Amino acid sequence: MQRLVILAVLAALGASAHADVGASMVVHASTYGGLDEGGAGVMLEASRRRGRLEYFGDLGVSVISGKRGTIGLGTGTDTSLLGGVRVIARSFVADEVAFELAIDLFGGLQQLWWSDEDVTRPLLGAGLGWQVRLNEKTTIRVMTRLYAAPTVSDRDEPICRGACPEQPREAALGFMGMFGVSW
Amino acid sequence: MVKALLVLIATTSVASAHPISYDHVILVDSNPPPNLIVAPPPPPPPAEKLHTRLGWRVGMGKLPFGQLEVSTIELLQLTGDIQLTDRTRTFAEYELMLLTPDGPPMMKSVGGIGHRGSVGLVREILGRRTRDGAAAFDLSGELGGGATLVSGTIGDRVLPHGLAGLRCGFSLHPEHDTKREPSFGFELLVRATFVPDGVGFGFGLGMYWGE
Repeated sequence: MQRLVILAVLAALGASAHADVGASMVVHASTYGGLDEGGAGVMLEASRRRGRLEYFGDLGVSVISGKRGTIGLGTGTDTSLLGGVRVIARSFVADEVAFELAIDLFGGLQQLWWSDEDVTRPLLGAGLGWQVRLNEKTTIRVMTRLYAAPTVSDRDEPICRGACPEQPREAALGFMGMFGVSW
Repeated sequence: MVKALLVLIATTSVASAHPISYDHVILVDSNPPPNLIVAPPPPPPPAEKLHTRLGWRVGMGKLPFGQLEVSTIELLQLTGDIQLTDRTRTFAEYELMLLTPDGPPMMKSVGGIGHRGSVGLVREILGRRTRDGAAAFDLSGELGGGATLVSGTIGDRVLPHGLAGLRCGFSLHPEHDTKREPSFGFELLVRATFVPDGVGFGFGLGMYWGE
């Protein structure tokens, strides 16, 4: 059901004649209730631009690895569905090329999955980056993002194998780096 | 003739019956008075627009942290400058840092995250621009200070700091005015950071947009 919603949102965004679509390589890392996880993957984006604002929806899939203390959790996947707004804070136009400073605010859901366990958590974050727009059609973008999730509840806490090290309850804090293109 | 005589008598009698009161005489000068309606004063010149910069930067460096020597990666830096004079700016910036204690390569892992805020002044030491004014190079010095909030397995601390550094920049100015017009530039930064546990060093590479 969750994946159907994701596809429906992206299809709705992509169906608009004025929407841009894009793809980025993404790396991320975060902590979550004593769990350290990180990985790399692909982020697909659909966006609409109105003046200095860009409304976007992102669907990301990454391969991740995680560990709790010194205990590894092996390889898993991260599926993220994010939505937000990007503000073009500054723009410098030279001929048909624009160099732009972008700040974005976003929220969404992230599902971390291993073979026998998974965690789904809400995210809220902000990003900063720059982009080059060519002929108002193609955009090359570099973004760095910082995000946070609420404090882990017992229900959300991943199950660890073997002896679980005692970890303090803590809110998740993570970052992601993105390099991509949209058109 | 008789009619003219009668008119003259009538006029004289009316004039004597209603003598002129000089209190109500309005003297009319044959020369018109000067025009007292003056043009309104010209509006004051518009206040000069504040020239500001916003920028993005990444960097890395070393920072003493207690007994540890920590490598820092500044993943995300937002900088803002305000031009005070032609050669002096004030700046404020935020940095998100990954902190990794130095050690054997196999044992290295991120030990904490730092949020650093700094304010200070930048003074242009040397500035050159191309003959047409469309591009400029500059070397600037900076002084400032701030604080860093560190959290993670290396410990939770608030570190005050002072900073001193040099910036080398290259910028484009389509309006051919290197100080006050829209600009876009790149900047290389070398900075010493003074914290209670010692002195750290770092460098950064960024870009900025001026308006």
